[in-house]
Amino acid sequence: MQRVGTPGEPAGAFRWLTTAVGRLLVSLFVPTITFVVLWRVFIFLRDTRAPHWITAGVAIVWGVGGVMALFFLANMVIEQLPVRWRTRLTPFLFVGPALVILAWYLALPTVRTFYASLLDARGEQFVGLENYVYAFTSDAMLESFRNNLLWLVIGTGFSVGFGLLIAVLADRTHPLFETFIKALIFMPMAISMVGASVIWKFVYEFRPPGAEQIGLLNAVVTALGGQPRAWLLMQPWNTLLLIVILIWLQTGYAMVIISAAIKAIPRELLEAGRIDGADEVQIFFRIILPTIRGTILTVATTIVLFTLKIFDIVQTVTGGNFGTQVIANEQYNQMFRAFHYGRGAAIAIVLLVAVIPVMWYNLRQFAQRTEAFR
Amino acid sequence: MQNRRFVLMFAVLFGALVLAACGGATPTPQVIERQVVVTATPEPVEAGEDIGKVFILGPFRGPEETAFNEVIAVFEEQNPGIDVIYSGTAEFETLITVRVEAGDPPDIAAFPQPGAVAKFAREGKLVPLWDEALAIYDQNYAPAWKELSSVDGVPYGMFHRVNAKGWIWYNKPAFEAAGFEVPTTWEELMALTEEMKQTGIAPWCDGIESGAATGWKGTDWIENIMLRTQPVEVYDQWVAHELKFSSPEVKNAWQILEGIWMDPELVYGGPQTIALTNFREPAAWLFDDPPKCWLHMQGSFVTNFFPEEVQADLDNQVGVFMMPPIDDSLPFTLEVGGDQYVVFQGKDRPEVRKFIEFLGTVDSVEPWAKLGGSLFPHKGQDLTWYPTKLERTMAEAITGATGARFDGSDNMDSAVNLAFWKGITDWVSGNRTLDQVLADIDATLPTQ
Repeated sequence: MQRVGTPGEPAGAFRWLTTAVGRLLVSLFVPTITFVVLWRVFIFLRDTRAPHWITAGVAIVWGVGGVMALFFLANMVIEQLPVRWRTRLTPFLFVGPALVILAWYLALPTVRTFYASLLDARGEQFVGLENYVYAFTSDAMLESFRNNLLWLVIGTGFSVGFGLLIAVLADRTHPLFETFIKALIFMPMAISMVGASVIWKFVYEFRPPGAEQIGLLNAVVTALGGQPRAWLLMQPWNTLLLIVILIWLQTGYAMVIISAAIKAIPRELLEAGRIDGADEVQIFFRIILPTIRGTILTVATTIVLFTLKIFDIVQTVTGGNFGTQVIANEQYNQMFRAFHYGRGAAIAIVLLVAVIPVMWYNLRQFAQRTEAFR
Repeated sequence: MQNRRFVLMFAVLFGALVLAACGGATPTPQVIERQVVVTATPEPVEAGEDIGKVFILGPFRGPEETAFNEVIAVFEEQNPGIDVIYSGTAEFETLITVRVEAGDPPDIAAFPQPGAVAKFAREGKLVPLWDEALAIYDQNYAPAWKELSSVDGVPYGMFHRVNAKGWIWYNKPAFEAAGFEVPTTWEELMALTEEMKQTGIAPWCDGIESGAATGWKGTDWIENIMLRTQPVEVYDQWVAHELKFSSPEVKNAWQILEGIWMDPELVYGGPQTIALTNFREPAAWLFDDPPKCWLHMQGSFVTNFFPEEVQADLDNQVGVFMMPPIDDSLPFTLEVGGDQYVVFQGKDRPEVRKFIEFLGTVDSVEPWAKLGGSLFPHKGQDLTWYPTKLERTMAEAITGATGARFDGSDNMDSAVNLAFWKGITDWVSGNRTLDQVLADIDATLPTQ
């Protein structure tokens, strides 16, 4: 009698039988059982009133273990097939689930949102492009477009600009000081957007003249002899003050990435430039900038995407009032405060369309650069 | 060799999951119960043996949540085997919509806004009140409350904690030391504020900031003025969107408020301060040394925002009077607000019903009333439960009210409500003129 599982050597009808039976088992029986078990556990998780820690534990095992089991299962099934089929099907096995998830959670909702944007407030009647007319002509949206443009230009410009400046300067200082400075500038990134917004809301706080100023900005102004101002009410300065918060947050990000790119510039290039008699400014503009152009563009487009979708800062500091409204916040208002589903969907689509060119450009840059590495 | 490992792994996972699946506390019948649909005459769903959990979602947190948990404790004592769990969220309006749309509503939700209740009721998401609950209403509440909880004539919510609006608060010792007298008519109030100007301390302070709901404070003012300048029928038409905001009746109310808020000598810090100050802060300014202002208009829940030493000694430190009538020919109608508790479709179980009915009885009032800061409309309550004379006076006014109207903006269409809040904010901050604001709000009126 030969034991099952001895590596390699085929011999005998028994071995053939067990292999064939094994294959049958694997291909039909085990998947079925696995699915049944996973389904039963799902029912358990849905309906149980057991203590939460049990539910959590089972959910983790079921989630992680279930996904692993399904992958191995599918892999095993495919491996039973002839080689030709194997090479065709394996990519689908590994990319398929991710694609399905993307389709279900991203692509499908996008299509549904577009459809919802053609319906009325409750999502019942077809109203054609009426919501888009609102999205492009209403006062709130026109204000939002203007503001988002300000965010885009000023927010991205200064974040990248300051990031670049600090990266270049820090590069030329003592390494310890460089680390210290970089850590300091990067720290705000550790704070959530809402946390940062609350901090800066207090900085801009206003109390009437004569009263004690608790806002940092007004405290400085009154200490220098001026009158306290209601900063968040003053248009269009209030949008600029909100953009300051973004710059405070994103400069660290830009700086870190650009700094890495600068350090990757070959020393020989810089030395060659110096030998040829270029001064530091010329080296910066003629050698450094062109070399890290790709990185700067990538960072810039990332921050551009950010500014187009900006929501947390505006929502927390002014709620979109006093002329600071932005597209994403207006969409939130329409969706969750006015419960006008049609308009909310239309604004979301408008934002999506505005973002697509930037993303496409970003991806093209990425593709071009990776190609250059081949 | 690989196969063996796979088989082993499968066996382990398989075994663990099978154990979990079979060892769960839930028998299969539970699955079937969830599909039972509640019909027009609500029939309670049969519960399993140890099912006794009731989940409530509501907007209040902090001290109010603690107080509500005391109420829950009384219920759980009377009903061992039922576990009531309340969770409060600052994003209540958003969260409840998301959960209902997702098909996962809580058992009960506490709505401060009847507009939202109407929306869900018309979508068929709520369970209308059943016979026992209606009997409790007739027995324990003035008829106005059942009307206020009705959508298209069908009552849905049980009122519990309520408040009245239009109270004007003052710092009692300072007020009396300055020799002021409580006004009983609008003319007297205006004369009083003129007198107050002379003291160098602003007569009024106010703040409308409230996150995404910034501006609601102004809507309270407009509603109270409307109730005092127009007959109740006109108020109802306005709330039902049959009367435009730009109509002379409504515009007049805004102009009266303009006379108070837009006069920089009448309000501490002027309109800019009103626009930027959170609604809770001005209450404390009454008691600064020296006070920043003399009068503050706010609902009865303001007692929660006074400084602690004032809260400990309310009767001596705080005075209150109701905003006087403006047009003496009109009968007096109280503007009220309150949390109503509704049951969602599919959640109509005996223990859920029991809790709702409990909220209609005075037993649910006692623990919270004793903690102070909240008022209740239930008849048969013992006024001595309230820790201060202040609250007793207010509770009396509420239980004795004949005419009552809900906070108008809470009852309005959500889009109009939002535009109303935004309109107040734009107008106070100087962003838009009064006519522009009224036109903006009118643009959101439902076109029916």
